[in-house]
Amino acid sequence: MHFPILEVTVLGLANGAIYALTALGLSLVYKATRVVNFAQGEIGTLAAFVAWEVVVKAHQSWAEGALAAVAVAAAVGWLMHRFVATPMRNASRVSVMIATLGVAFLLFGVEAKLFGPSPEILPPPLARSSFTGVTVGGYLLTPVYLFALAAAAVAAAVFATVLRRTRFGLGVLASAQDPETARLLGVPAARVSAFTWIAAAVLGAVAGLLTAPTQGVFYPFFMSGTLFFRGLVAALIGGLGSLSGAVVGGLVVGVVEAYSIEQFIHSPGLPEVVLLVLVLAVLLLRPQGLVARRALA
Amino acid sequence: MTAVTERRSGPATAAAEAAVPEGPPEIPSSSPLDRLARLRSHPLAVPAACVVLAVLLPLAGGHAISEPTINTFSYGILAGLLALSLNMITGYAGPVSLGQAAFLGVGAFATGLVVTKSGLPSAAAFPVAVVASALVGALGALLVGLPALRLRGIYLALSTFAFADAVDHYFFNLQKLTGLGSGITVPRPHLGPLSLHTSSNYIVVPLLALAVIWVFDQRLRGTRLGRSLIAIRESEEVAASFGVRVPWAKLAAFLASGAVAGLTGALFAYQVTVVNKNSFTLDQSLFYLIIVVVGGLGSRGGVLAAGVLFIALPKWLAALQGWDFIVAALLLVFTLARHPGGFPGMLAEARDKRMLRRGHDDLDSELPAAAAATEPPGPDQRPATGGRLEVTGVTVRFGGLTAVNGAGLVVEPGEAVGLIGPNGAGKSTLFNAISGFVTPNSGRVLLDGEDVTDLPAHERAGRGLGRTFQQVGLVKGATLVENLMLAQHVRIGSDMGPLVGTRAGRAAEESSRARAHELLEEIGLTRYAEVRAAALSTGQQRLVELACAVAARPRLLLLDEPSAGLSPAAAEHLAGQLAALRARHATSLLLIEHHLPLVLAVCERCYVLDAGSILAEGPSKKVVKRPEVVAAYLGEAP
Repeated sequence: MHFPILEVTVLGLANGAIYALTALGLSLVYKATRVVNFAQGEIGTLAAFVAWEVVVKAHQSWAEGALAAVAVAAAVGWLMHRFVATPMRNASRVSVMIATLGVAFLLFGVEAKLFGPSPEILPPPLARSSFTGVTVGGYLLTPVYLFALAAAAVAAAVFATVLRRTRFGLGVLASAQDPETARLLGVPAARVSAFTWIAAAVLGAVAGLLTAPTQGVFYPFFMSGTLFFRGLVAALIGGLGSLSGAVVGGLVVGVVEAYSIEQFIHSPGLPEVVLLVLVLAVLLLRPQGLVARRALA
Repeated sequence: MTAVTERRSGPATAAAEAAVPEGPPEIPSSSPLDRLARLRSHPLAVPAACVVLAVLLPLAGGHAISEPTINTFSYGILAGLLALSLNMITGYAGPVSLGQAAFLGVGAFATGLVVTKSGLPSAAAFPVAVVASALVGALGALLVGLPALRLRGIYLALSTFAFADAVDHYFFNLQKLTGLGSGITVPRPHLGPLSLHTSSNYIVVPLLALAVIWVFDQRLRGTRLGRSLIAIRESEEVAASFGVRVPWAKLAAFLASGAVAGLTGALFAYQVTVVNKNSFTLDQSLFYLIIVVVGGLGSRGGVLAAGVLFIALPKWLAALQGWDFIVAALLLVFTLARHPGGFPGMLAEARDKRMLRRGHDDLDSELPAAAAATEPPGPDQRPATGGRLEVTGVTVRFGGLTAVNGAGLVVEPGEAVGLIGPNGAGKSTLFNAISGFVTPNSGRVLLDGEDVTDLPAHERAGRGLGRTFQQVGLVKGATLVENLMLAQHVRIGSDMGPLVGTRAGRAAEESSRARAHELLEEIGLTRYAEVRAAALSTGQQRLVELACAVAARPRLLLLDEPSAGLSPAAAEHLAGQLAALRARHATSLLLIEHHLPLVLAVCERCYVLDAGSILAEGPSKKVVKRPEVVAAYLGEAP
């Protein structure tokens, strides 16, 4: 049987870039607060709906839709900082995680109320331009995937630089290590928390904007399933809290998923089982992640 | 946080008191509010209501109450059952289960298989399906629970999430098992004269199931296993120190939860009659967690009510449709943000405060009363049955650091021995090696001649080695009685007896409850028997901890800095209590302590540990005056 290794790998890497963006958002929040943010995927759904409203309903450009989506996501991020993370900074981490799950359902409910429960289609960026993409290894990478790869690379680089090279970023890292001491040393705790949650929400929005066109349709709660799960697996493989790990983990998940879809074409859902085995193996055998914890940030 | 609760509980308590301004204080229970509360909290209130409804609804269905309304209520009860099952894991034992709907689905499809493949007539298939579904649900939960033996907190939650996702996408997509989009048809049977085809007749089944499961749940929470789970929820170390077999208890919680969820799945299959995988998606699982948290983790009534309301209300009132997620999510976020324990935390704290206020206005004025209870111990009825500890050449290394270096000591039966030494001398590490929380690199620990070096902590506890912790080792979220019963965990012998309600099991529970009250009386805290430990002062918590250590009838008691965090006056009080308890219960005692007056008051003999080795040994009063001991404590003399 012909197994198009190269094409499948390229497709996997391209999808993996989107998972990497989700994983980056999860890892960033985990790094700063020891919380897994269950709303990370749903922020992507909300962003996709906002962009859909602007692009499809109001006939504006894709760039404007994306901008509106990112702005809304940033606002959600700030609200999470203000009404979840800050009041619960001394609560058990599992409680905060459950609260973020509540936020996911809140967004779900709001999306269903505002945009309706039916599946919608968000067109890909540059849909009307003559540029159709770049062929790599026999696989045509459409502009969405090029954006995804670029966004993942840029995001990883930006966060690595900000966190390691700036005073503010070091403050974020210090808060992550020991919030009390960091505050005593003059790290602005509120601004650090706001930055973390807003940045994660923006990453979630970008991932959502790229997921919607590649998956065909989206609907309320869509990205709390597949996208969130894959981002989570990616973050776990990379080691929760490691930004470089998130990127590598995302790419690994993308490729593993692409291979298992190709391999088990007649058994829908088997890729999930593969990912489950992967998650359990990582959690039970190497909870610090498969990627050695080299401190990128 | 406390301020918030105070503010919230204040008016409520005031209102409750205002309701009975004229009532004679000795019978406050005559107030209508209290009577209502007592009726509501009667153990059989829910089962009785279920039975009454099971009689009334089939009569009222179709005329007084419409069939669709009853159908929705039936769904609500099933939701309540699933919420109760989730509460058994997450509310009692602590692990956050993000895949409860998957167990429901597994149960429902098991019923589908039995009905379509077994060839049994539909009336005979019904009980078979219910039992099979419960078994399959329990099995599935066991599988998901296995990682719980290694994982904790967020990681454990994520593993349940991964399981649920895989089951949702793979298992429920198997055409042969689940019929995919078309689903599997499960027709409702005739049970004797009763046809279950109408909703008003079928609802009898979920109602009776709820009555049975409610009683089971009460037993589960109220007996040995439930207490273990509450202890585990708070700290696995403390639970183990009480002799709880943590892995077994956790798995038992998963098993019970899975069985209830699977059984609910069977009833759900008969409820919908066409089982479709879309009923068991991941978002359902996640939403149930929200329901249970809003209803109150660990609180049966709240969880059941939240399950029924959140599923049934939006179907009854069209105006509410689409608002369920929004309302649930807002409730969740705001309760959690206000109080990390959520609703139940708020309520429990308010209740504790009320009981404390009723018991006494000032916590510290309780101390003299307690002292009064410490009358000269009567003649010792129970002669020391042993309790000889021999420790030889124990060495404990952490990486390159040698914390304890070849230390040895002996405690003779009935003797009280102190272990003192400067900070960092390795006292607590030696203690941990003796009690089984640390494995020594070399050396032996003998209890009455038996080598216990390789036994885990809970087995040493079972052999009569009791200990307390430097940090208070009580289960803060459990009442004093529960703590003292936990302390007798090993003596009750089995989880199943009390749970099933065998005569021996019930007797063991009752005798341990009686002993708990006895010990509370000895330390003078009887009136706080039903208050959670968290509400007491540190000094009172120490006393309860001591009583716990004694409750297990240890042969040898290890006390780790009992006076830590106490004022000198409270420490003195504690010394008196300690001497009295020891005399009354005749155990050997090994005491780590910084506060020398306490050591001198209690211990005849003591060892001095310095830099991991025994520096000196002898009668307490003499040892503390030796120059090398003084030097170790105060630094070398110039």
